[in-house]
Amino acid sequence: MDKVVEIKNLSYTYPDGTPALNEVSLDVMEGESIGIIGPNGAGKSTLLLHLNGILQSKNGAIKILGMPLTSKNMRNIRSKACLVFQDPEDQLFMPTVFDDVAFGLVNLGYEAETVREKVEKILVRVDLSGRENRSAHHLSFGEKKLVSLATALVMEPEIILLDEPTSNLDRKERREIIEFLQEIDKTKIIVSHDLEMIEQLCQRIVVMNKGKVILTGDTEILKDDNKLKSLGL
Amino acid sequence: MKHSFLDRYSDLGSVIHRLDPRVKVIFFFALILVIVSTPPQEMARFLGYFLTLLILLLLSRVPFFYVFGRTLAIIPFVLLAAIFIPFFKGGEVAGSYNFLTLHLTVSHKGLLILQNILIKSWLSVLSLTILTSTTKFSSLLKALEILKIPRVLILIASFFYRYMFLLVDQIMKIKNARDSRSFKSNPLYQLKIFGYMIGELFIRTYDRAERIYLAMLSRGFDGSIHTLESFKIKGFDLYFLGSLVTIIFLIRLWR
Repeated sequence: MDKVVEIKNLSYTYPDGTPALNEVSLDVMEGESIGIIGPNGAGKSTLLLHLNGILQSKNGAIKILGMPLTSKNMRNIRSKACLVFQDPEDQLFMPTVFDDVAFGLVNLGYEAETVREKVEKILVRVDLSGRENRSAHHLSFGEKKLVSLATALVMEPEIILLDEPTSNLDRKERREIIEFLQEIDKTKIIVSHDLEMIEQLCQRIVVMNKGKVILTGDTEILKDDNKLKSLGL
Repeated sequence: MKHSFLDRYSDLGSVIHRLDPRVKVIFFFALILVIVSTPPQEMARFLGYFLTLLILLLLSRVPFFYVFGRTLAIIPFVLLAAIFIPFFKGGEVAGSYNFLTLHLTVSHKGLLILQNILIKSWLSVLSLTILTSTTKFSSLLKALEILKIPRVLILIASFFYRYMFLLVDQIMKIKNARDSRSFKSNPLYQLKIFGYMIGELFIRTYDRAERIYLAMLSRGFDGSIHTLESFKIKGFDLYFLGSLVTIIFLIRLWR
């Protein structure tokens, strides 16, 4: 198996001086699903923002599919490693569902016909076909989450970066999202507080605290409550 | 929370709704130009435009009183700007009034200008209201984009449409949070709280804009927004546009 993500000694401090990441090193293999857990402010989301080149740190090195994060590779990397934000209101910014899902494809320069086909296909997959011309504010929260996922998946990425995919969902919506994610056989990196979902979807767990990776292991970690408590969870 | 105060009724499926949005944009803008260029005395022509609009409105099946109510919203602004004209315009005096030491005269010419402004602005707003109640906002934006309206303006309108609802939600939430803990009714204190609320709203909006930008970047945004054109003009659209434009020009130019 190939390494699709290589992170070496990555440190990052936000412009306002808040330290966020401290010497993080992590490798992710092709097809693997990784769950990143940890208390709020541990640096999980910051790490995710680095993997798609949105945040760039001078300290440390990241390679995505063997490509270092340089401005020359950025376009390619962003089409291969797609990020889905926690709040669908941030992810969906176009006037209609169709435009939102098509946004990434059109930016990648696909032909109009291909874009239409791909958008249609992905909307069928998330069970939202027929909503193309709706505006995002007319969708339910669960539907918004699904469309958010579709906006990333439609680009057929190798790696999917998910920030809290199940937050604020009701049980049915949550189950639907989990089932949908289970069907996707791409490399997944999931940041979440939803440990049950992580257990269902991921093979490997990374625990972060105060900007550091303090433990990596399999899902057995999640079953030991005392251990979780001692890790600050 | 659900709102649809901008393009309510734009989901109906009448003849007018099904027209190509570009046709509607062109027609209504042509109509406004014609209305504005009509000399003020020619009431019959204005009546003609009104009847044309009324027929379109009936065809569209959008409730008359809804559209009518919307158009009234503009009247106070027009009045505020134009109400003083009859008092200042010179010419033949229509009437004069004395309030204590104040002597006011109203001229015929001034009254005609006021009437002209009121009629033209009302008919123009009526046109635009029919346009927006029969066209989805997203289609309208796309039509404007194809018709080469500057992209920046369209983007601003597009983001405004998308996030206005969210902004209203946020205002309501902040207001609810205030009301649920508000015990003092001192107006000065309330004003201070109001200031904080506006500040809070500004910060939240700023943060959101930042996150939206990140979301755009992560899907390959490179500074310009591209969308797909998705309208197909039908023979009926052109026929409709042709006949309506002919009608309004006939009304305008008939002797």
